Amino acid sequence: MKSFRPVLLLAVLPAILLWLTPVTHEALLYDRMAILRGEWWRLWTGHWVHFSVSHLTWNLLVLLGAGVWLEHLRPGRLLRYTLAGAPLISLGLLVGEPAMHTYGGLSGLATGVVTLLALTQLTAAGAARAWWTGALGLIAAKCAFDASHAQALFAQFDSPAIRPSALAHAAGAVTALAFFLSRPIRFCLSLGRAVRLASPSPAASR
Amino acid sequence: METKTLSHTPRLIALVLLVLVLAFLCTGCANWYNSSRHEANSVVQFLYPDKSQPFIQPQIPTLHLPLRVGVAFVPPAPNKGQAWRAPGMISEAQKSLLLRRVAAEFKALPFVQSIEIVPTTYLQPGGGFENLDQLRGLMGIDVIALVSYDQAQNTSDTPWSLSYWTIVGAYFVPAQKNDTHTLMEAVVYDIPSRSLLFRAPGVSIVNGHSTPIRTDAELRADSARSLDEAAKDLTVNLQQELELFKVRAKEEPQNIHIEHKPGYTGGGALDGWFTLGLALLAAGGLARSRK
Repeated sequence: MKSFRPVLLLAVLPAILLWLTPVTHEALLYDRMAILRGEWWRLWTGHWVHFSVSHLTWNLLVLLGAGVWLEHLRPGRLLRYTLAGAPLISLGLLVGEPAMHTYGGLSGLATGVVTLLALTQLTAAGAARAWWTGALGLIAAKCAFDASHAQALFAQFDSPAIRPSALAHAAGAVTALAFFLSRPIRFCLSLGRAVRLASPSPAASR
Repeated sequence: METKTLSHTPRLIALVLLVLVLAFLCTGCANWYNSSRHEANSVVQFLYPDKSQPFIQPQIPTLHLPLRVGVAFVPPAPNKGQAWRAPGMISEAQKSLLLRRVAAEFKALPFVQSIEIVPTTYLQPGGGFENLDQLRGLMGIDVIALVSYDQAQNTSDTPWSLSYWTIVGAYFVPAQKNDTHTLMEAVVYDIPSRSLLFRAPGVSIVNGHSTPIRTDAELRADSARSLDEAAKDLTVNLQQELELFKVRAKEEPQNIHIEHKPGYTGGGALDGWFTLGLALLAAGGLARSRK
């Protein structure tokens, strides 16, 4: 229950609340032009806006499962990743998909959370390593499939003008990897700084 | 004796004449009810008028999703010096109904943004791709579904037609055999590339019998029924062709280029297969680590 609460408060409830109040979509959606005009909050909030029930359901299912597990293993990591990852994914879309004017959906973040969970498990669970490598392989395959089948003929959205964004998933996985690697890098940097401080300076030794 | 022979000659002549007249009348009766009608409008004649060899080289189509589709009836072939055209067997109301059916099939597709039913008056007989380009500019459509038809009706005698000799038989014995053959076709073209995306046919054969007095009315009814059946068959085939086209567009990207119009909306969507795969892997990982 302890690990369920953050996911509920961070992802599930806001997404459902926004789904029930479509009037808010206009102000919260990732809107390329609006972001470039300075409405920077959309870099975060756009992820919680969904376009159909199935869109919302699948994204929340994945995020709920992976998020609760991650929160159970490393409390607080989900919140930190969400705060850092959401705008990074949006910035990735801003740079990588200039033709896409609007975007919504938690799948980028959900892919990131699954990636983060798999990476965390890989460092911890020795015996189940193959399973979590498989999970990473599945994410890579999903990103590759989305990229090669970007025709979106079978998009399950209410409007034909909406197509799945392959880049959002790839950006989610990449930001999770960067977030995961930032911790040892920070550790190494702080270790280096500590070693430098501890070692006697050449002037002092003379 | 000679006088007697002379008096027989006019009678003989009269008899021969009577036989000839009767034979003529009978043949006339028989031919009166043996008739055929044919009406068609051709996509080829509309797109390539007065050209024995279509020389327009189609390119690889690039479909900009979501598509805006037009649906139109092919106009009849141009009149060559004739001021008057016989009224068509298919009425404007029937055409409109058929176009609405075809439009409904396209509306169900996820990659179709809008459907425009193009009025018949917007298409000129033999207008060709130039006419379609005008429509593209006027209505903003990218793809057009052109519906054409070919209907032939034959009515012929049967052995029971002998009963017409009694006059009463012509009113009560349905000895006329009526056949109505209809072929309907929808061809879907990408206007900018001039390429045929796919086609769907619809066929119908209606057979019936009628009395000579009611033949015209029966033929009109058969014509309408046959058109309706062909239209239903066309709708079924169109559904299949659309499904095949979706598969082809997915599996043969070298033959059909798909692009999205700038300004589209992206949705981050995870599907059931991905979720199921993840769940299985996670369950496997959990079970393995518990061992």
